[in-house]
Amino acid sequence: MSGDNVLEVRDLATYFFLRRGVLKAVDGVSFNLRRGEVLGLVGESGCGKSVTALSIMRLLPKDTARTVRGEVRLAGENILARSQREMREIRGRRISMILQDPQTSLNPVFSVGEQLREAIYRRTRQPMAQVMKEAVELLRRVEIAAPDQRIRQFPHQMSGGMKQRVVGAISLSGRPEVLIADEPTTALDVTVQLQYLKLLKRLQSQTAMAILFITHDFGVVARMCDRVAVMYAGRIVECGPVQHILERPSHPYTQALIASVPRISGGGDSLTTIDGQPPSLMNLPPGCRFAPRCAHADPRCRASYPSTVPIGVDHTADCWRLEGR
Amino acid sequence: MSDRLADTEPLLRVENLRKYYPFSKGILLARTLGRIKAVDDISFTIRSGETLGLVGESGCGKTTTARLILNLEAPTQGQVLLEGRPIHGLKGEALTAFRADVQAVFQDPWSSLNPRMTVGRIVAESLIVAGWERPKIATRVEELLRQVRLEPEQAQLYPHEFSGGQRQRIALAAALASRPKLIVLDEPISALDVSIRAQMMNLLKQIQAHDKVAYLLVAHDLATVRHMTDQTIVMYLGKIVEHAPTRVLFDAVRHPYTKALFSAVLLARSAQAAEEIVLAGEVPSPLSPPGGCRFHTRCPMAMPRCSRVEPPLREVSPGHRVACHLYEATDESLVLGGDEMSKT
Repeated sequence: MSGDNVLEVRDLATYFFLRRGVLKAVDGVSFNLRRGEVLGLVGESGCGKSVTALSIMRLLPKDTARTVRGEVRLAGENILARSQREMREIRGRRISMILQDPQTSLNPVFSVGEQLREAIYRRTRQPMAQVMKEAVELLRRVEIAAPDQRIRQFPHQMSGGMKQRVVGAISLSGRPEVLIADEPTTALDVTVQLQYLKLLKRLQSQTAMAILFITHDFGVVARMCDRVAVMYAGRIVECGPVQHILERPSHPYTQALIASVPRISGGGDSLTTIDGQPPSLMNLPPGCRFAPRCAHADPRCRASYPSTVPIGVDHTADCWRLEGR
Repeated sequence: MSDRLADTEPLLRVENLRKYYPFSKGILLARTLGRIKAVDDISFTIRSGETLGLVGESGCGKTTTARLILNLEAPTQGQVLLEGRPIHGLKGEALTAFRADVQAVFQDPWSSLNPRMTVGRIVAESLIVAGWERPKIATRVEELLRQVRLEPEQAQLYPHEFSGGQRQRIALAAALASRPKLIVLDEPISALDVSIRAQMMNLLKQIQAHDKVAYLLVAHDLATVRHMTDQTIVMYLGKIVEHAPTRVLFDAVRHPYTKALFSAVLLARSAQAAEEIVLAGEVPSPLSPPGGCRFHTRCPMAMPRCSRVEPPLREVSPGHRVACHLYEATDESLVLGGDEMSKT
């Protein structure tokens, strides 16, 4: 079925080689991203979701981090084998990225128009008048009012939501097949967050682009994603359709994570908590990485890492308890 | 928690509080161009042992309100009274006593703890200032660390040796040291990971049940507010737009802005609220807030008069105050009675 998958990640492992030791940020991550779908990558800070994204983009800090194994197949071809020069042609045109903070992803000393034009010109080498026209058109597509005036403004003259729209416009300028959105709404106000998510959905439905949506917020997942992969300590522990994961999570970590979020409808005086801390990525436990915090852990869980168990249609989890059920 | 006699003086009383910041252009020969109305005529009370939630988006004035109550800013007009005594203008011992009574926990535990002090010293700081004796301080620090679920031996360690959730609990222990009557919690869990947030919320509730301390919780997450608070205030551009006991508010949201906030909450459950309101645009600049109702530029229900006349905050049902023209004609009797009673 690989024809449906625009991006296939197989056993990806990225380690940081530090003076204190080896930090296994991503350690055996596999997933597929299908054409036109939104896949959520959920987890807490330090679980490896952003490093997964940077490994796919090949934008890791090159003095400390290295992808030590695995494959990243873009439309069937392993891009980890490509040179950095070739990657520059892939980034922006075939895979794009939106980062969390629009404040830092835009250059403060260039106008919005110059930053958009650079992205368009690099790809098309069209005459400037043509590039300008396309830049205005892109701002209109991300629903910025009065784009021909806004294009002359600098980032500091825009609000947070508007800046993030500009970042979106730049990311989409190359009509990528895959968009990686790394917590794109975390820095925005709640009412603006909803606007932005709806805009991303609209743009996606127009282009059949696939989105890998990284977030820690299950509310955003419920709104945006078709499927969701839950990460813990460098591994994906559960992956399945959004509906299933939110309503019938199978992995004890997913269950605890969802139960620990307070509900707006109220109910319950005390929230479920997950005791302890995630394990140190420099000193991982030999078995299941969640076992030290898991209420159901037994000796087998502490001894060896569970295999990936199919639970339902399109739904898998890494847990010994689910095996043979 | 709020079923006490109405005539007892509340712990904290905020009366017609205003904070305007002048803004100017130029360095030499600076001209004052106008004033940013960060907080514009707000009033509310907090009873002891109760939690009040302050909700709103960036620029709504919730942090300025918190800073005014902490006596870190002086108001332009109006006053804040703690147990009936005005807090601004306090000096010397009275100010020291106030600082012991009102404490704070801030959003970011990475910047709020001094990296050069041991945890024990951080927690003891306010006791040293208050002139406690050494052995008594040591006992109290041990007691506090236990209270926030840390080991007394961890007093020797430095903040960088702790995780975010632990650091926030250290900040809480330091705030609790002087046995305050009120703690201002400015987004105390938003910097924490999802699985750690629940621990912190449960801990805050346990401590309140035990110590009868009141909280002013500044937050943007409605589910947190629902879970934690007894009354909720929603602010928009320096004004209170809606104020009610939390249970009442969450059952019957009135103000269109509050409705939009509720609609923007992304539920992790599939049962999304039927009514979806997506606001156009973003919060206008507080430099030049819109005339009339400040929300009218984004309000889906706006009427012609909304841009001309500013709606007063009036009681629409017992304890439920709303600043919106929509609720004027509907129940006249309540409006008239409520206006007299709330005096705001």
